[in-house]
Amino acid sequence: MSIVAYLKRIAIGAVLGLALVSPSFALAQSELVFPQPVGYVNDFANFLRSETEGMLNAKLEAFQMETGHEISVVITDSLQGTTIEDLAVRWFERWGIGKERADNGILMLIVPSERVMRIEVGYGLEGAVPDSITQQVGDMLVTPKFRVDDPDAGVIAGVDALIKLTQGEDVSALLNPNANSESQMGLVFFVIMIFVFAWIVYDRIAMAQKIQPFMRNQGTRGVFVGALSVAGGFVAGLAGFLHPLAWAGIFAATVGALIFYLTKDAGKHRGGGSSGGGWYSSGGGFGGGGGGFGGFGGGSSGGGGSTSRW
Amino acid sequence: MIKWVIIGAVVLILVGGTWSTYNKLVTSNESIDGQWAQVQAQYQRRVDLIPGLVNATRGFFKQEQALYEKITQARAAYGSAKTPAEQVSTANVLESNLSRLLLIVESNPEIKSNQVVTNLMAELAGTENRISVERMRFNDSVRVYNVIVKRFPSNIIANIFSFDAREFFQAAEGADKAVPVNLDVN
Repeated sequence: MSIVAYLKRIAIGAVLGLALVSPSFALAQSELVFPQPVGYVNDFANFLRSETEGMLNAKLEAFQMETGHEISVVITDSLQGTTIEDLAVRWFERWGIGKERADNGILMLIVPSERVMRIEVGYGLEGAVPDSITQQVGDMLVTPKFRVDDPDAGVIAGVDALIKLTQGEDVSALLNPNANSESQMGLVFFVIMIFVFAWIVYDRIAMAQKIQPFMRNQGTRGVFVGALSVAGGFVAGLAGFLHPLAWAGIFAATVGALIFYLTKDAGKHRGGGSSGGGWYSSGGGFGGGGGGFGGFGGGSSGGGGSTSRW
Repeated sequence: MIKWVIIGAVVLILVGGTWSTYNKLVTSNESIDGQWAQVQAQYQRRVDLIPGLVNATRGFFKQEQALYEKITQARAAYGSAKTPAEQVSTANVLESNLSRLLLIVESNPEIKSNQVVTNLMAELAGTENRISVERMRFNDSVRVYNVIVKRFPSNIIANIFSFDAREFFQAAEGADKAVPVNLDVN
């Protein structure tokens, strides 16, 4: 009849509940395949010479350092059964080209096997690079070179034009991150709620056990509050909380585990608290770019830009 | 004392679950409205681009006066539409007429070489693409919201706070299909 035994049951219940609920989180994803980005230039179709690739990568990296704008070139073999407009906007979305909120990215997507290319412009650069301009870049600078079998010159000319067009666009004002204050409020509130709740429950128990308040063992209180915080973490998962609150659960569980640890000499501690938050760690999902490339900044586009054929 | 632990856990599940589900419903409902505003913004962009294209091409296609008339009317109808449903239906009429005009312009080499017209065409094509992207995202956010509204156990909370499933965006009938064009330009 110990608390630990009951907490174990609650924990098992929580895990089972989570197992039941979690499959419904898996929303239908589009069946299109997007490889991991390897740099600013991603030639998956061996269209360019490797020197050109290296040169453009260095240039676009430097441009990103200077202005924050992210211009990416993607060359792929297949439209994967959809239109280039659809493929481009989804590719853009998946990689998150440009910085978050500033949306200052441009994707030049080329499909040589279909003789079609698209310049997809992020929301934040639509003013600097209107559709009529990307159309001219595609029709007059890039595809004419493709027609005479000089793909390297075409891509270089296109990238240079896009760099010139976006150079003057200052998006630094949009780059200060301060959007998460609301969810942090929820986190703090949740953690405080759990602690207050555990405190009250401990008082009730102490009362029921006829222990005088001033004589309570602080170590026991620590164990109790900690254990309930761990349970709170499980409950957060069980209830299918939104991300910020799931993080609150993890945080509460971690703090609880810490209290467990710190009070292990004062109270009648039993081991095993330190793993409190670990079970949820698979729920994250912060896709970081692999390899040497740091990845893009999480920008988005809304179908702006133009398509050219050759 | 065990009683209190169990009561506490149950209360936490109920309060926490209700709280988070309610917030999720509010957030996803709001994001649908935000996404609808994006669609509207692109509709407006299309409406703003039309006079330019009409003026630049009207002289070339004298036999298409009926079509120009229809476009002008559809544009005015969109302007006076009040409800989202009206906006969608008038925008769809405008879309089908406009796509006819775009096809006519596209298939005329003489006018296609005119830079003003080419630019307008690029902007309009980009706008059409933006509209379809924002519509797709609108439907995506409706899908996310509807899953919460209909799925157990969140459907109970949706029911208590009367969140109803929302409708998907229906594209214009035949908007994706090619339109037959009368091409005897004289």
